[in-house]
Amino acid sequence: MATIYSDPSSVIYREIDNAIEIPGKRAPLVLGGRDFTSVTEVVTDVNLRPAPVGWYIGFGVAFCLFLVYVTCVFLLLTTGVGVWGNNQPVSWAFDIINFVFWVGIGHAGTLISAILYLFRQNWRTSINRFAEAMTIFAVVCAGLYPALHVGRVWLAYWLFPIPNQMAMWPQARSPLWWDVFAVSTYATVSLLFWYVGMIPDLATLRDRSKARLGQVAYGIASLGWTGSCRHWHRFERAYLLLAALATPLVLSVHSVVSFDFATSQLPGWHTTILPPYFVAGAIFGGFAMVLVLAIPAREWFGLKDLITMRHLDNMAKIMLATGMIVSYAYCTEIFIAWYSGVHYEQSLFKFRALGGPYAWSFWAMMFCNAIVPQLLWIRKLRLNPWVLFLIANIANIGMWWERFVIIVTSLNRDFLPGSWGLYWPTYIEVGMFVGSFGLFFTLFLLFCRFLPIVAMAEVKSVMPQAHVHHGEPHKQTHDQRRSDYSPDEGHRKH
Amino acid sequence: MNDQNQTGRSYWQSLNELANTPAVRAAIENEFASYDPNEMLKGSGTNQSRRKFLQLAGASMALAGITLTGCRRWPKENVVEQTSRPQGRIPGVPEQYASAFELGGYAQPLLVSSYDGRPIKIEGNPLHPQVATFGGKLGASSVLAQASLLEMYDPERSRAIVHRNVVDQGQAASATDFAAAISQQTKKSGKIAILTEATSSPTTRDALSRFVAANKGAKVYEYEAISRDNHYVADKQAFGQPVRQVYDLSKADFIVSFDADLLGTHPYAIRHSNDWAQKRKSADTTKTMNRMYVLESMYSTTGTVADERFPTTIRFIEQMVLQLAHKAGLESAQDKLNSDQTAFVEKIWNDLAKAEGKAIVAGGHHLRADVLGIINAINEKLRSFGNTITFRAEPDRATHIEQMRALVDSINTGNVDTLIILGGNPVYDAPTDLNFGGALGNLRGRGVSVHLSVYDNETSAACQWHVNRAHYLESWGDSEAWDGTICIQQPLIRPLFDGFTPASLLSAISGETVASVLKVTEDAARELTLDQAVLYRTWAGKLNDPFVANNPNFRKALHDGFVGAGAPVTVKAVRKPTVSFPAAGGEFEVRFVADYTMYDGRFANNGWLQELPDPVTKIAWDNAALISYNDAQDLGVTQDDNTTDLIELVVGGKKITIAAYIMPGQPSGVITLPLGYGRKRAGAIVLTENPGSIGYNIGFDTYSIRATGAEWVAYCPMPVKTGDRYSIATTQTHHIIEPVGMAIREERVGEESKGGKIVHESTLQAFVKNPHAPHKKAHVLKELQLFPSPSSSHSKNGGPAAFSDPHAWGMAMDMNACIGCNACVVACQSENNIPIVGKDQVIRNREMHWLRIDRYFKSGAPDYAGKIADENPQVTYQPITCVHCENAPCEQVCPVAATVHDSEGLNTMIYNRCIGTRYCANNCPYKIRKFNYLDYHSKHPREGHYPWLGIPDTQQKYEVDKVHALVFNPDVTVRMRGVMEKCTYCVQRIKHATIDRRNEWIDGKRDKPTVDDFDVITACQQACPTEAIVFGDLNDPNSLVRRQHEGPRAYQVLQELNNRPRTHHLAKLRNPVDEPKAAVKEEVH
Repeated sequence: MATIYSDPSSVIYREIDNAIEIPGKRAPLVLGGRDFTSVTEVVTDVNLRPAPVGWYIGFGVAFCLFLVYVTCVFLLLTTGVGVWGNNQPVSWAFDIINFVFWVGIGHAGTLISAILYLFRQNWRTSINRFAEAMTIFAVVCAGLYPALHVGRVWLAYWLFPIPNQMAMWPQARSPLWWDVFAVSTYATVSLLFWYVGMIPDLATLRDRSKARLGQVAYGIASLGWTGSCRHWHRFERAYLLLAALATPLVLSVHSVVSFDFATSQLPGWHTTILPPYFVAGAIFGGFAMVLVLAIPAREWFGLKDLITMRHLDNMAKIMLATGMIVSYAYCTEIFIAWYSGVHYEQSLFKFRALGGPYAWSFWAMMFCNAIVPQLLWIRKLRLNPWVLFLIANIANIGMWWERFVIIVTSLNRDFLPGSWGLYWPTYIEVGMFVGSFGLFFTLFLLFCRFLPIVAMAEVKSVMPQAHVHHGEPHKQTHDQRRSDYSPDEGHRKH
Repeated sequence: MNDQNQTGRSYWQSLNELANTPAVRAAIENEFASYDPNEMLKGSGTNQSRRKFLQLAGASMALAGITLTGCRRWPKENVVEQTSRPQGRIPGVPEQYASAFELGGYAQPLLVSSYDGRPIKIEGNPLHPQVATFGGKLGASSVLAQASLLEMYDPERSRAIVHRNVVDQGQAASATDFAAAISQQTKKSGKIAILTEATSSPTTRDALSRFVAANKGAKVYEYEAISRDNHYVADKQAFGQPVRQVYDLSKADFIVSFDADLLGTHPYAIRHSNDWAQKRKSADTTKTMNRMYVLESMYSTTGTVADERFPTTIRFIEQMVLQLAHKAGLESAQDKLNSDQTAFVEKIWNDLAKAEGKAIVAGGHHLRADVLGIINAINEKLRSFGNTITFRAEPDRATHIEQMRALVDSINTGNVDTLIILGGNPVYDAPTDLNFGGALGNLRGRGVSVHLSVYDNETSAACQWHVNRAHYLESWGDSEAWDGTICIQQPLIRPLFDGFTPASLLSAISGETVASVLKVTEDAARELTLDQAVLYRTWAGKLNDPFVANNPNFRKALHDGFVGAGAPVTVKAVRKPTVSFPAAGGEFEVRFVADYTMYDGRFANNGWLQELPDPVTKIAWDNAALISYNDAQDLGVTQDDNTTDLIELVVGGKKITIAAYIMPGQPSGVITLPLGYGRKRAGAIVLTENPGSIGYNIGFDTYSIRATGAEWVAYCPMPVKTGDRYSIATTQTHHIIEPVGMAIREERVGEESKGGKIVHESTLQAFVKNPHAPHKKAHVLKELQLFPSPSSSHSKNGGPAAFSDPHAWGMAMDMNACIGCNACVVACQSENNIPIVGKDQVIRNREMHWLRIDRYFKSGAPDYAGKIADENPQVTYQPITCVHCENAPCEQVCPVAATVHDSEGLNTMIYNRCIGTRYCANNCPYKIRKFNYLDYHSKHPREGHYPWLGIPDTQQKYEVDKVHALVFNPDVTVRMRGVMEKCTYCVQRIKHATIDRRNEWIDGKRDKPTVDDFDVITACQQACPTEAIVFGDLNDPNSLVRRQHEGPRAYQVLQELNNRPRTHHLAKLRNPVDEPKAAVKEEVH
């Protein structure tokens, strides 16, 4: 990898607003006059420089929460599912709410990496790495829930098709079994995709690492990457193939998760709209989570030039789009319930929206997912990281409430009024939920500390320097392109 | 020469072989030629060995680890054989013995199942006319009788004789020490008093009279908190002799209940219920039903099934009695009644006037004796006596209150120095103004008090001696049933903790032994116990046969469980009393009632009963002051799902703080206080008070404000809200649901004309006009199935085509007969080892009952705010248990195939396959699957749950009390935490019956391999007093269940889901007075 600028300080640059669309021109995706070297440096510095105090504080907090998680799981396993508030009729509650919540969050990473890759959305390069990491860790958090929520955890392996002396096989009609495959396949492919994409960057870290441990560890992890053309060729092929493999999984995993509900008989669950609705919701929530992670990260790790306002703007637009799909789905559900003429379905939506004991959760969901994201129509708000951070958080909360609404309000009042009952959580399941954020952030902060959080190799490939044509003088390219993009006053106005 | 040559071998392949050297021989002997068992130990360091080691190590790791079972330590179990098998006993086959359970002085005939020597299930004695159902094929039993089994295995039962020199400090004493001390005391004392609980036992009475004869000056007193003394007094006055009335509801077309809980707490309730139900089921055949009018001051189970119910205060009920007497021409008209009340009485009289000899007018035992006398006069006028009402003799005695007062007086005046209390718990339940506890304190300084009791309870703690009483299942006894038969109480097991019966204690105090009682040799006496000997002595006298044990009549009585009743007593004409009404003592009437589950409080330590929801209020683990909605509004009392307000009541100067519970159907102006809660020493183990025990301080002690003269009805000023909240557990969502929920529930539960979907009901009049009135078939979309559904056609004999080989099990639940009494719920709990979970878990909606009785209120008022205010909603009970869908939603979603269908239509649950995803419960539209959220069997219901660090599978082995574990039915798995469970249609009973019948068929003793009706009886069907539950084979065209399924009232709950339930419900019919709707509405307000 050639170094084009040896001295970045020699470049004079001014602020560029790359969030503006200029017809016929490509917006730059890396700002700050970065060249290849400085991109490498700014990313690897996060790993190779001593960690800032803030990291230790953050990690400490996350780890403490993780210990809360461990404690709650200990109590759960040694005492029984009864430490939670689940009951009859609400047999699933925080466990499956959080499972779906985390799986949903785990969606955006692979979507960004795979689908946007296949669609040649170059802006993905700055965010795909940690979005994928987010996916993996979210799937870890998600996957633990169904494993831990079963009554006899020590037998949860019966969900897997393992030949056994009991001559018993899982029951293939059960959507829970489909879930096992959907989530485990998704986790496997996402992990592979993440790791394969990271190999060139791990090699960079290996090369730049001064510490012996780092050299050995990154050396092993980078699988002998030398950067030869052959390696690049194999890498590109593998990456493309994995992207192609991962793409259907983005759609399948949440569709299958939604089958848990859609194939059941329960009013409020038994709906054909659930798969697309869940996928859209997952993308919505996933992007919200990427924003929640990216906005502070770009600030704290000095990645503003790589994760630019344009990136944030794009993500905000996707949130707006998917948020509206989700809102549309909410309305469709209600319409179909009315249109179906099925009494039980209609009653359920009356409970949800009008007067049930959890009607407030429905309106919390509507507020967070249908109303608040409408603010993203306003460009000014999209370009304000503070506002964006707030809206993304609200969207995440809203998506949690969505799962609460789907699961708890459907279960707490179904067919026979004699079996209606209320549900409320215990401190242990709340602790486990908060603790799962501890697990997530523990993993995420470890990732930030020890792995390249931006895909350097890929970012470089979308920088203008990577597209110099033969015979063009290297030196002028950057300045030229930058000044090319500089919008005139007229453009700024709209 | 070697051996080889001797055998003459001539074919060989190697010289070594031919030479047959020792080395070769050794090699031949070695089974696996290349295998060296010591290879591993040699440590030769060769490559070969190391590689092999790694191979083996790897393989063992894989084998041990791959299914995670390799390092699992299975619990060690020992099987101990019986050293000698009793003749005729087949191990593992339960045997049934007739016995009896005495409650409040009246016997309840029982049939007790014994499994390898331990009683595990209590049922009604089908031979006994009082409890026989299905024409004597089955026997019903009350909730209390069934649950008394758990009491027998209560680890907190008293286990020893305790001597308390100082109050509350006891030490265990031996029986000989006790006998020595007490016989010395009785010999020197001339002032002995015996206080016994009400008993009709000939043996106990015989023992008492012998004791009195032997100890000059000894006096016997009887006290029972739940006493029917007002009836006793009224009947004695009316007929001039002590009698009790036996109602025959099977002959009564019209039943008028003035606050009498005929189907609920009455000692004869099972017979009443069954007779009443027969007159409801007749709707299908003769198109007629009886009509029951209930005027009541609270919602009782009898009121819930009334055709015409009128809630009002007790004072008005009594005046309405007089108004009815006026209609009958016996009294002058009551001017105090309002138009509704007169109209209602008018309505009753319209029916009664034409029902001579076919009516019963009953009064509650809390009504004043003179009012009950008027009811007697009305019955005489209606010619009920001799037709629908017969009489049985009662012993001549003073009332319980008078006797208690006399006893307390004589203790306090020093006329008693030795007090022997046989059973009961007077310190807790005697009228508070008599201060029985104080009297015992007075006695302590100068005399001796002895208390015989199953539990070391409040009274025991106040006496010097506590003697542990043998449980009735462990001891011999007898008692008289309401209908006059004498039941024999036969022990099923040697006493777990020894103990005396009242009769054997008196005998022991008198220094008697088995030999002296029966006048036999010591050798012969060794075979017998003292309680048995005392019983033999009594029956030897009764049957005039000294060798009663071999007397054929006695043996028959023992086998049948009872001796037939003699002829009923005939009575003279009624002497009608004159009634006067004293002024009311306060703004509110306070009514004390026996609790449906705790009775008078003696069952406080019984977890099954504590957790059993009250049939009407559905409160578990508590009692509460039941108040009407309007009164609650006035008091500002509110309640939400789990909490309610505490109120303060002042009755006769005594104050009580109690939770208020807003009860629909409760008349304004009456506060109902169930007795039997707030026990302070309900289940203490021997010497220590144990606040953690099941019954300790649960609910509110309403005895604390119950005084003489106001044992049943008292007055109080307006109660005051304390401002504190109290958490209360109910098994159904409180009736206060927001308007949206109410509207939706209305649609589901309403009558067919109002779009009822789940509960179908109608009136007899509509049903007669159109048999399909109660319901219409639901609209089912059968083609929209994710998975192929079982064949919907019928097999050639009319049974279902799917899951019908060789039987097709099905059930019918008749909502027209269900009175919500909970007998089925306890039967199921007892049969199927269902755990109790505790109040905190009930609040969490985690009760484990496989069978629940959904109770719906219904009233005609259109607006929902007014609906609550309506004081007279009707009740519909819908018993629900797993309906065994042919097209079961639960089965399709279980990822590990833990719930599957069998060939006979059972939706089976395989506990050891279940991993507890709970998906099945979510997908069950009836929400009747129950999940073991915690290890409820190991968890004490009053304590929290704790982490278990051992192997989860073995928790029960170590944690369940060894005594308590004896109650488990060995035919049914005791479920651990983390598995789903639900009704199995009593698959263990099905298997017992089908295997036996099939074997009989193989042996040529039967003409078909399948079962007949009543070969398989589920526990719930067995217990049901009204025959509301029927189980059987749908393949059999003549089976009762098949006929019920094909009857006009049968329908499938949630048929529209195409689940195809095997349990069908039978629509409810009411038989209100046929009159224009508007008039009905008028009368309600």
